[in-house]
Amino acid sequence: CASLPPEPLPAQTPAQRSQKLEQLQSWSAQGRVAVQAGNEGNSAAFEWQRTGGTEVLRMRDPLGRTVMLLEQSPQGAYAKFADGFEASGPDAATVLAGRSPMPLPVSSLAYWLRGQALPGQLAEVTYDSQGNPEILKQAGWTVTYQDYRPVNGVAMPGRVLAEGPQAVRVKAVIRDWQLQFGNAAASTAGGQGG
Amino acid sequence: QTPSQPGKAVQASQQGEVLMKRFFTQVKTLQADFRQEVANEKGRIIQRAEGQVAIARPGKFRWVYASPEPQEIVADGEQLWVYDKDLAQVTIRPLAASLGNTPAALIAGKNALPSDFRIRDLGQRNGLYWVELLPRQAEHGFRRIVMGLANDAMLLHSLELRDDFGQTTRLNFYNGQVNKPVSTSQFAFVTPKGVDVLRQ
Repeated sequence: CASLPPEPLPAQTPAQRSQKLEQLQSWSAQGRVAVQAGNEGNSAAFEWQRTGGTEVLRMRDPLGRTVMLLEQSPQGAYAKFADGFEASGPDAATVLAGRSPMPLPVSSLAYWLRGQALPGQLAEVTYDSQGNPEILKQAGWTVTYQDYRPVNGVAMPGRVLAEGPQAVRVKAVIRDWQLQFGNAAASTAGGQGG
Repeated sequence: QTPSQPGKAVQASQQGEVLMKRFFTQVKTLQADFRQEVANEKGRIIQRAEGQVAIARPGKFRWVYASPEPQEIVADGEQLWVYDKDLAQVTIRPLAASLGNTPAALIAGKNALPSDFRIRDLGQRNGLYWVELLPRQAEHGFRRIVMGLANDAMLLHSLELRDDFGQTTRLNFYNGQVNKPVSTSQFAFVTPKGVDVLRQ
């Protein structure tokens, strides 16, 4: 509601922010994403939800038609596309590999979208004055963040640009974030990792 | 319950089909505002959008989404531009390749009548006459299309599209102007400065 003055961004140290995000139990993000490889590309509306152990990513074209549905749980991953292509497999990367020559590291993008480095892997992060990631370099990708806003006590990015190998670029504008935190034990760092 | 329930037809009049044929043969240009709702397979509304549409049959249209995110889909009869303002990106593709499976293509399409659909009149409900169009080929991207028509100048008032994932998009048109002159500049997309241009 535009009338309320925006909450101030929670001043947190980078460590506090990442600790808080590690207690994330379920989350959802809605917005638009554009994927580009060289000068070919596409854009779509996306809804990315994780409740408990299951993650669902749905992409829609402007007229609401589902273009891709991807589900991933500890038991495995399943993908279905508008042209009828379906595939299931142990994880998202394997399932998507059958579909596009440059499969996106979907599990990694889930972390990067939230302004989190993949757990247990080397990452180089520079922070803005509020202690939020500004540029994150990991696994050959460079992710840049803009337009942070407070969500349930954590600053979440409104714009994310991820640039990876072979001139692949993923640009996302996130219109809506929902975050639910559990106790420390129920962190998302467990489960199927990056 | 939604008008698209088969078997709920009030009477087996052919008025719906008559109006549909009239739309496809007599409407050369259409300009209207629209509201769009997308409901998931459980019927929960997951997206609301609104904007304006301008159509010049065959093959030209400009579909402008004002909210939730500003976007434009423009076709000049040859090429299709999908411009995403927030992402500062426009994707260009040949219209024919992408025309087949979009509702914009259906109502602005090249052929006079939708030949690649099985047509069924669903009768009258909520003041409109409803016609179901089932695509003959599976790869259409939309499993089922329902047109809501009225015996007035605008003819087409509602369009309902169900995709292969059980999701339904409902479009309601209003403030419609039919067969008024529409300048062709409406159907040429000029890429703003600083926008990435991609080809698909």
